[in-house]
Amino acid sequence: MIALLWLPPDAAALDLQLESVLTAGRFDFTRKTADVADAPPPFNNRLSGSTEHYDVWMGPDDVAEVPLLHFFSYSLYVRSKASPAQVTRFAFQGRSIGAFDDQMADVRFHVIDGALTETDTITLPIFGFVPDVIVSSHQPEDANDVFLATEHDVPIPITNELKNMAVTITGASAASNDAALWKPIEVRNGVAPFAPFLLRSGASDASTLKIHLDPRTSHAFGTALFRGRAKFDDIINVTLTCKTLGRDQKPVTIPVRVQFVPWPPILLMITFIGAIVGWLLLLLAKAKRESWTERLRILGSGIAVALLIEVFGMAMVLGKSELKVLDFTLDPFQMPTAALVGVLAGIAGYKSRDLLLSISQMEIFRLGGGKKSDATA
Amino acid sequence: MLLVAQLRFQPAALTTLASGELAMLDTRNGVAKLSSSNAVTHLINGFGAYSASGFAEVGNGEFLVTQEMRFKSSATLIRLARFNTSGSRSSEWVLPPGGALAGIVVDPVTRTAYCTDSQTNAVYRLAIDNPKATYAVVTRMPEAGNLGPIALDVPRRRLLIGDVQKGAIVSVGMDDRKIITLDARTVAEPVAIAADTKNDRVFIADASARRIWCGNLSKWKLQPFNVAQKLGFPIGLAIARDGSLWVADAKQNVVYRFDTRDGRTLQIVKP
Repeated sequence: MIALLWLPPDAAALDLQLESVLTAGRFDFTRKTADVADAPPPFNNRLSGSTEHYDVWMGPDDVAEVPLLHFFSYSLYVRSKASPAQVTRFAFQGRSIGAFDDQMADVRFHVIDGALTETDTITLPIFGFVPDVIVSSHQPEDANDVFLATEHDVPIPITNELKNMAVTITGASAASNDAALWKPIEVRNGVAPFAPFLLRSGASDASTLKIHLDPRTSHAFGTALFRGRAKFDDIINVTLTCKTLGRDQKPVTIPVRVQFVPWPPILLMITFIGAIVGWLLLLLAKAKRESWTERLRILGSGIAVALLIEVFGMAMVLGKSELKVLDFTLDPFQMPTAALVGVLAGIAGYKSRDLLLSISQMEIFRLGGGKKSDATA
Repeated sequence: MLLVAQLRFQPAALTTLASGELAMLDTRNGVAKLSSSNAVTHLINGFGAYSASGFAEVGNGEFLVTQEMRFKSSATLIRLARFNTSGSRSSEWVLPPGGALAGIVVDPVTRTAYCTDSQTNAVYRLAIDNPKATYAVVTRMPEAGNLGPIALDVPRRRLLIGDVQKGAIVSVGMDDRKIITLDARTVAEPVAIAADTKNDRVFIADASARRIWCGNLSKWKLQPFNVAQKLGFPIGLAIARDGSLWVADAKQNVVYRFDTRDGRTLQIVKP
């Protein structure tokens, strides 16, 4: 009846009916109004259906949730193929009964024009009584590893939990529980800055979304050193804004646990072991003739120098400098560097011994003793 | 683990505060008010896991909000919550399972709240100053589609209620509980009703028809209220103190204030 109030006389006979959809629950359509569409959306192949004489379609913005009153509002457009310029808009109210996932469903429709009734199906979004968790992220059981002094991209795997409806990730941001640990955190699409992208029905994507982490090494070092019994050093909350047809944009926050690797004392241990390995190599190649006392002295010197270099390197990086060897920038906070330092210092056992001797004979270390010996004299 | 954060404010229901300022309800993000200097201030910062479907001012800066929390696995939690002036929930009245509170209006004289139930199509009455009060059924309308908005017509001692699904407006006597169908043909989808008892007028937001109807409270003859703006999805109405009409448009996410004499746009608020 309402339709008759709004339609011009020549269009008053046209009617559109949508049948209910049965899924895990039920979704009912109630036709509310019909009027002449002044600015209909362009016809599209995705949300459309056709009978012999009529096209029926909907624009992607023509469905909206009305949370205030627990229904969904639809606008569908019908045009006669014979006179496509004249478009009639039909407003429907959609209500769900029962809980089911939001989905695209084939909805049977009837175009009624006087005595003529034509029937076909149109694919429309329908919605469950309870809004779904639309995007999830399977995070590894262990925290993601991040090097203490190196930029790192952590992939954020995401899954569209809707098996029959695409979701658009329209926005992304990331915030740390401890902002002092990081330079500004970026969310990226691979290596490029973030841009909205579509996640198809039920699809998973483990590689597109990444957070780019660049630690502030001094804070990270302190946090990692005094981690205690916690299995992570920080939580980065990645907030994605997700949009599906008909629903409001919805933020989904994914907590990403990270830990700094390796644990700093481990590095010193690795340097220590590296120095022993280097010393063994030295024994095989050169130090066979030395007495065991001398050999152990060389070992001790190698270990001491290795540890000194490693700690000095760490201090340099913490002081925002770089540790360079032959034009190669070395990160003393990584295990290979720590091992390399140890091995080299071990191999250069004689040099290490001489270096320690020269250090011990430096004026700064002889100052107190020198005065004392003068007094004795 | 998934956490939900806040998004932008989307006004749905509207009401005019005793101070004359406009209050706006966002079903998820809380309540905000528009001060006389046009500043938007949040009064209630979000409803947590609940979503709101209606609200009314108690009279002293406090609000009553109808709320629900839906679960896939169990019954929906429905309650009427009272929020104090600092925006904290001070009391609540839980509705027994099976219903779904929609609209709410408060009679400031008797300190009684009237709520519609869109699931059972009942109208409830609740003494708002009694935290232990229970919902008393004013009437049930089994033949209705889905009851939604509710307004108070104090001079005629009646409630005006919209049936959102069937497109009808009914009145329910506050004393005699008599039900009268006022309109079942004109309005297609009545989502908001604003009664201006001072000027004997009523305004009804017809969402799917994208228009506002106005009429006379005593004679009840509705006619289109033509406004200067093209409306996308009018969802909320409130009568301003000066007699002008506030209209929340859910599609455009704006609130308009119209001159009720000629439909001229007096103000546009974009929260």
